[in-house]
Amino acid sequence: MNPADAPTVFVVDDDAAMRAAIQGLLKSVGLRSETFGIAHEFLGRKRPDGPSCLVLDVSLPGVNGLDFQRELADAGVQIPIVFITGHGDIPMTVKAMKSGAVEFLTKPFQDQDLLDAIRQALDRDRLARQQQPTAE
Amino acid sequence: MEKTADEVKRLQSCINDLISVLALAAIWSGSESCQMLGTLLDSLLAILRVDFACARLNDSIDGSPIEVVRLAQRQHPSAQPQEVGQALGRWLSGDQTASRFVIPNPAGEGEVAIASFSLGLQDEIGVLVAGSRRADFPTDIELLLLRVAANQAAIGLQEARRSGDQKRVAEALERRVAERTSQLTAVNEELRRSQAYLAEAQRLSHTGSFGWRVSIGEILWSEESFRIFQYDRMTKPTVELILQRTHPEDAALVKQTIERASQDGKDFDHEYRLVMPSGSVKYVHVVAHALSDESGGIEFVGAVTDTTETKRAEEALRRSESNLAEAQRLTHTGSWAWRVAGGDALHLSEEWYRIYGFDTEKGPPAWEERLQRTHPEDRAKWQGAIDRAIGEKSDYEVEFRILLPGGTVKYIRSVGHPVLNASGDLVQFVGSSTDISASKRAEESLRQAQADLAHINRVTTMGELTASLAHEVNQPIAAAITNANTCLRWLARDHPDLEEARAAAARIVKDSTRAAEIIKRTRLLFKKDIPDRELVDVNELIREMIVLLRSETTRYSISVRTELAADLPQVTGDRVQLQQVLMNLMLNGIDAMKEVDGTRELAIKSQGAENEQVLVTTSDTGVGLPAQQGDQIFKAFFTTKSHGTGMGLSISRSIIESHGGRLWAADNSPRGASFYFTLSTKVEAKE
Repeated sequence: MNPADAPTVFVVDDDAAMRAAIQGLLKSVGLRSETFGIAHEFLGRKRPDGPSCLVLDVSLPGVNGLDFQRELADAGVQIPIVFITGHGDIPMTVKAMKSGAVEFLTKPFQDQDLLDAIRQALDRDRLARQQQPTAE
Repeated sequence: MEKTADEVKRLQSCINDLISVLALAAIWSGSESCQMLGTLLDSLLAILRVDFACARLNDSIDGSPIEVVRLAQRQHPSAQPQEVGQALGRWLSGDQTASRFVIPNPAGEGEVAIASFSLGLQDEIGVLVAGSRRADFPTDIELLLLRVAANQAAIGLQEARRSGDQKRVAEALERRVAERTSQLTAVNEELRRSQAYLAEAQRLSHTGSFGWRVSIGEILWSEESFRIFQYDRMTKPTVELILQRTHPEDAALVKQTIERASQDGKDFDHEYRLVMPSGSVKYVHVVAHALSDESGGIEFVGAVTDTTETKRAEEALRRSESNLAEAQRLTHTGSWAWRVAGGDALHLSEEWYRIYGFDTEKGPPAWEERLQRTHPEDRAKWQGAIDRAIGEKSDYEVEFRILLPGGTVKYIRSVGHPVLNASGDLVQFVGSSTDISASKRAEESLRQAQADLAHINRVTTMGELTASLAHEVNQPIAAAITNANTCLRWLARDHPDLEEARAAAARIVKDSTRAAEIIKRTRLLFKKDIPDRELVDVNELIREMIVLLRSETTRYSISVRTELAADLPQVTGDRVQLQQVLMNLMLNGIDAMKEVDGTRELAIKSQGAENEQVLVTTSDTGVGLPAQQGDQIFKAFFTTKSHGTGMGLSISRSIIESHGGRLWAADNSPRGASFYFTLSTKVEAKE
């Protein structure tokens, strides 16, 4: 696989332990990841050429994950999002899913569930990227 | 014939001269000796043709001899009577009767013949000397005249001396009479004065004197006695009058005492009350001494003292002493004084004995006994405080326990004050010991009640935080589960990657530890514990609390900012209670920002403040303090929240105050509120 086409998983979680855990898990399945403690740091990151997705914690200091999802959409950033949350509820899940989230996982989650969701997100991004040049 | 005629003439002249000399006695009658001699010598100079005449009187009034000298007019003008007297000294001192001597003229030129005559039989009175330059001196007639004159003078002088003696005796007598008279006057004056003094002294000392001749029933009273019994001075004092004034309750005893005294004739001494015409009561003390009068009858002399004022003062003293004792009993305060040298107790009040459980009958306990009664664990503290006060000659205040023989423990607060002598040496301590057991117990139960209340507040608050706390524990657990799965994945490979597996396992340990830490802190806040004092790092408390409340702040999208002074000194306090205060204030800030649009920031600041204090501030950008209600927010049950108990701030304030600090609030500009509290970094003396 072309290294430029290698997928990247972005992780935004304010909890350092959680970021380290997810990064470790992704590494064990050979996935490259970049982590951010603050949502807006991710905004400044240039998107790679390869497929990517975002694992986003709902509870972030200063800004809510769901609000950040809308912010991204408003800014024209199209990236599949997998939400993780410490205390999720049904309305929150529904809202996230309606806004186009790939999956909504409650901590602690099964490792396979997260990996499945990430693969699905990456596939979706790959698909979107394939369609994009035709649109251009 | 002619000779006869001359003779007759001479005789006539002689008779005249004799008459003149004899007349002298009449002239000098009543005169002084000195004056008499002067007259005699003047007459002799006039009658005889002599150049000088002098006389010596052996004893005058003052004992020294007197010499009188007269010089005739025709003598040398420069001649001095004194020189003449000196020149004649030999003849004036001895008996040279009827002898004629010729000597150099002491009063002029040439020689003189002198004749001397003794005055009196053996010149005991004196000597008379006459001198003349004439060769025929003295003639028979001159001798006769001089002798007669000498005899006349002796008689006159003797009389004069006698009458002088009489006069002196009379004068001496008169003088003595005058002396005695003035002495008597002085004595009378002295007597009058001393009587006046006595009367004044009696009046001032409220003591009257009396005399009582039992046989004739006569009583004599001094003015003050009349005043004491309030009878007119004209009244004749009687036993009946005394009994009339006597208080009815004392009358029988007084009557008995007086009657017995009048029979036994022995000294008596009694105290009783009088009732005055106005109805007021007087106390009198009567002392009487028995004497025998001239006829052998019994007579008493004595004093009656009005002791009303003394009685009242005694009564007042007794009352104030009993008030003091009552006050000591009510306040459980015993007073004391002890000598620094040897530690002997100089004074121990009844209440002191009661508190310490000593028996007043056995007298003041020795230092060693007092030390023994001090609780063994507090002896060093007690002794230390006293030793320090002795060293510094200063006041001392010490709280300690005493252990009574029955096992009872009492809490005592002793306050001592040093007493210095005139040279500034410490001689004793005076002070008080208060049994503060009751207030100690009340303090203890108040502290317990406050702790219970604080605990309830913590439990309630923590209950509200359950979701947040669960999330906070959930976070590391979720990470740990993920890491565990990762670890398994590395191990399950065909070629297990042990390095990666170990790294994952290490993360599991870290996450689990963090979870356990949070649970431990949470449990601490739930724990019901007796308040404890330890050295606490305020910054650490703030950081811990931020961690515990992180889920809560995150949930409401609140950013937390800290500004913690790096060199902050530690404070003495109860860690859990101080954490509770921080929790209450931070939760208040979070609550205030829940409904607010725009920036939501909770800022926590720590800094050093004056008077060795630490100032902690929590500021929010929330709704601010309720208008017009200022300090109300610190009152119990005051709340603006729908779910609040209204206890948080009230409890927080009492916690801070029990730590010797202050808690207050102020509005922020443009919005929000700040809560401030101070904590002392000094180790407090008070427990």
